[in-house]
Order: sequence, then structure tokens, then C-alpha cells
Amino acid sequence: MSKFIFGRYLPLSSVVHRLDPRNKLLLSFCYIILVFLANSWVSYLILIAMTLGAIWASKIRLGFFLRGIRPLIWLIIFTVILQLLFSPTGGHVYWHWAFINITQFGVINAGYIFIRFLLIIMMSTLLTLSTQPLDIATGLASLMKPLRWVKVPVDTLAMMLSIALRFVPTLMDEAQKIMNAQRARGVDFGEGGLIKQAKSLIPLMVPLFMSAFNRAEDLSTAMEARGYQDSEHRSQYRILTWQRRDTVTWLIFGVGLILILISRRW
Amino acid sequence: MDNIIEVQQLSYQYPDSGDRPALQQVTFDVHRGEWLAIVGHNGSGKSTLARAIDGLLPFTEGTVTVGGIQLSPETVWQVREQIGMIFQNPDNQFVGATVEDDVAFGLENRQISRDEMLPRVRDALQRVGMADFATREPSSLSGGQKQRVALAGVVAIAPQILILDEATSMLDPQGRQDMLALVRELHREQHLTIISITHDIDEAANADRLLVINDGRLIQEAPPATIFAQGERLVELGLDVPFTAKLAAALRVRGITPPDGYLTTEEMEAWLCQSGLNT
Repeated sequence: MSKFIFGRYLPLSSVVHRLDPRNKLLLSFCYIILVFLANSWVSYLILIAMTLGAIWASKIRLGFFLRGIRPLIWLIIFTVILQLLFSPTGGHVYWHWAFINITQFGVINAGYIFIRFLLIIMMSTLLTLSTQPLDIATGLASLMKPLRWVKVPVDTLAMMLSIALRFVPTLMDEAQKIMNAQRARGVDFGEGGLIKQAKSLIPLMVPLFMSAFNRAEDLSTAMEARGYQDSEHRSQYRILTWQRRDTVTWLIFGVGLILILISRRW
Repeated sequence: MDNIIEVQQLSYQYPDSGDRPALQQVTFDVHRGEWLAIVGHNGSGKSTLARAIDGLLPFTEGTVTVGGIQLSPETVWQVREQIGMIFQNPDNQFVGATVEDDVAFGLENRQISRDEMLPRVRDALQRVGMADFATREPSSLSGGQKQRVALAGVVAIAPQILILDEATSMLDPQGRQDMLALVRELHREQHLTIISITHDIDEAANADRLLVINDGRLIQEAPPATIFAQGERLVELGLDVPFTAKLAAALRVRGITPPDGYLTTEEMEAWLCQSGLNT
């Protein structure tokens, strides 16, 4: 698991780290749309320049992102090969055998898909590497605010999200402790056949669920004792502020968007 | 004397516990500014009692009055407003994702504006000596530190009453001593009324008055010295004996008779020096 860069946070102090999380979430979302808008080599060059610029501004080493891609590389290669072999006919046919055609169209498409994958993974890795999970949660909650008008319990969802995030490390520790305790009693995790392996999960899962429910019970009692009635009528300690640098990122994004729209022709 | 809490004929039975009620006709008062310890062995009903006072349990018989307000489903939030409560498990009462968020949680519930929250959170953390840990996450803190954060959460809302529901029972001796020293300080400086539910004998020795609970009944109400003087009877009730009482018993076995009654550590020390045992 430790190899998995995606979803981890790297504490550094850079412009990107200090951006408003709401802004970063919105930017990442719009960036994905941008990636699908691009359809020519020139537009991809612009996108790559934007991505590398963002990575440079975050002061995170490029190697980190490449390592982040490594666990997903097989998925990418698999998709690219499928695209290469089974794309619809179009352009010059390089090679043909039975129902497999490698066409000019297919090669270009595969190249595009490879770049799209790379860019989206890099940008979303940048989001999580430069933003604390808690800030992402606060940002998400704040972005969901308009959903109140369609009766979505946004504040309750935000509370649930923040409790979930707060208990992730606690439950991870707990799971490790239970596993070690069960190992000490002779349970082999990850040994034997498939059914045996699945069965050995029971002495981990059942206590883990029990413990989570007990914790929930204790926590809700403590929350009530501290005056928690409902999630709506509360003030907020943690607030987000939109700063000038956040506006600047949208200017850059706007320029990128215009350039890509122009370059779609080539 | 001014009573801040009055409990009258309180009874409670857990829904699926058979015939045995958890509390039977418990009646007592707590004076303003007093440190009251409630002791009893496991399952004697002392935690149930604490929860009933805070309105966390819907008891059917008896009345609880806190600061002049009688506890009922309508007044429960007014009652809770006056009470800060710290529970046993430091991990399970930590709501916030970081230390400062947790301290602010109670303030958020009271809809206090952010400008007012910031200094109050900072001061509360300063008070318990956790100011340097404001942005830390709970998983990076020790049990004692988490309980201090819980205490800061109580300090921030500045209630009249603090209930410690076995708040030190999961801490190591050092964490326990630090926590008790902090509570003692708050008690002295802010004239908090403290109810501590415990079977830690040192914690009980700090109290002005002890209530002994056994099988859901209040069986004794006296200052610590009177109750500790009973020696062996404490063991029958599932309580420990204070260190000086153990020492006195050990001396009696060896033919030396210290004075009857409970001696504090200082009194015992003074007596030992006078008795000339060291010559």
C-alpha cells in the first residue's frame, strides 16, 4: 500500500499548497473537461505545458508523480493496446490480420488516450499531494452548499465525511492490532487457498465492525454531551478564504482554455 | 449551602437487564464549588448515574435538578449547557479531525461566532498545556494528551459543572497525575463543581466528599477520611485501600500500632518520624 502515491498528502509549502481547496477541486474538475476538449497534438502540447507548470509550482518532485502512475501502468497499457488493436477502420492500414486492424487512426487514438490518462492521473495526484484530506472535505462541503436548495442534507453529509476521515487512521491502527492479536493466536492471513484466505478475514472483520459500532456509540454520546443537536444550527471554526492567487489560477486556466479551443483545428 | 445539583429518588433500569435495576432510589445533593467523588466497583451504577445527570439516559423515576432547572426532555439542552463531561475512552470522544477542531466543537454547537471562537480555543489549549499541538491529529497524540484536549473542550465552553466519568482510568500513571493536577487547578481557580466517577483511590482522595454506590444503591456519603478509615470494608465493596492504610495494616502485622483512622500521606509521614522507628 505504501507504494500507492495516489491519495496521499505531502506537506510542503508552495503556492499550490496554499490555494483554496475549493478552488483546487473546481480546477481539477474543469481540467478533466479540458483534457477531453483537446483533440490535436498542439492542444496536447499546451495541456502538457500547463500540467508541468502546475507541478513545477507545487515544488513536488516529478519523480513522485511518475511513481504515482506505476501502480496504474498495467491498466493504461491494457487500454492503449485494446485501442490500438480494435479501433474502427480509418486512415492508412498498417497491419491487418483476421479481425485485428492496426490503423493510422488507431495509433493516433492510442497515443491520445495514453496522454489523457497520464495527464488526468498527474493532475489528480497533484490535488491530493498538495491538499490535506481535511481541507478536501471542507472544500467539498462548501462546494455542495447549493445542493441545500434541492433538500440535500449538506451539513450532515459534511459532518459524516469529517468523522469518517478522522476515524480512518484510528480504524487502520485498530485493524493492525486485531490482525496481530489474531496472528498471535495462530490465524494465518493471506495463506492457503482462496476460501481459506477469505475465512481468515472473519476474525479480523467481526471484531473490527464491533469496535467501530462501539466507538460510534461512545462518540455520539460524547457529541450529545457537548451540545450537538443537529448539524444545521452550528457555527463554523474552519473557514476557507478565496485569495488573489486563486483568481490568478483561473486567469491562467482561461488562457489555456482559449489556446486549446483555437488549436483544436490542427 | 447552595446546591447546584439535586438528585431525588432516582431509579433507572436498562431495557434488557432483567430484574436488577441499575439505580435504585438514589438521593443526594452536590454543593456549588464542591468536589464530589462517586466510587463503587464495576457495574455498581456510578456511570449510569453520571449519564442520568447529564440527560443522556431517559430515567423514568425520580428528579434531577441542575442549577435550578429540572431535567426533562424540554430542558435537557439547558441542563447540558451547564455541564461539561469527560468520558473514559480518550479516542472515542475526539470529534474533530485536529486538536483545535475538537476544542471548537462545543463552541460550534453553541453557534458562537468564529471571531470569538479563535481566542477561546487558543486560551483553552494554553490552559491545558496543549497549545503547541493545535494542528495535530488525534492519532498522533497519547491517551493523556487526548484527555487534556477533551478537558480543553470543556474549558472553552466554561461550564459550571465538570463530570469526569472515569476519565483517567485508561491513562498511564503519569497521564493520570497530570490530568488530576489540571483538574485540581481548574477547581481551585474557576470554582468549578466537580463530580468525579472513579475507582482510582487517589482521585477519590482529592474529593471533599465521597459517595459510595453498591448495586445501584447509595450506601454511604462522607468525607474521604471517614470512608478510608473503614479499611477492609472497602475491599469488600470492590474498592482499593489507600497506600497509607495498606502501610498501617502491614505495620500492625509486625506488631507496630499506628493511630486508628485514616492518615493522609503527610500525617503518616509525620507519625513515622515521631514514632522513632528509624532508630
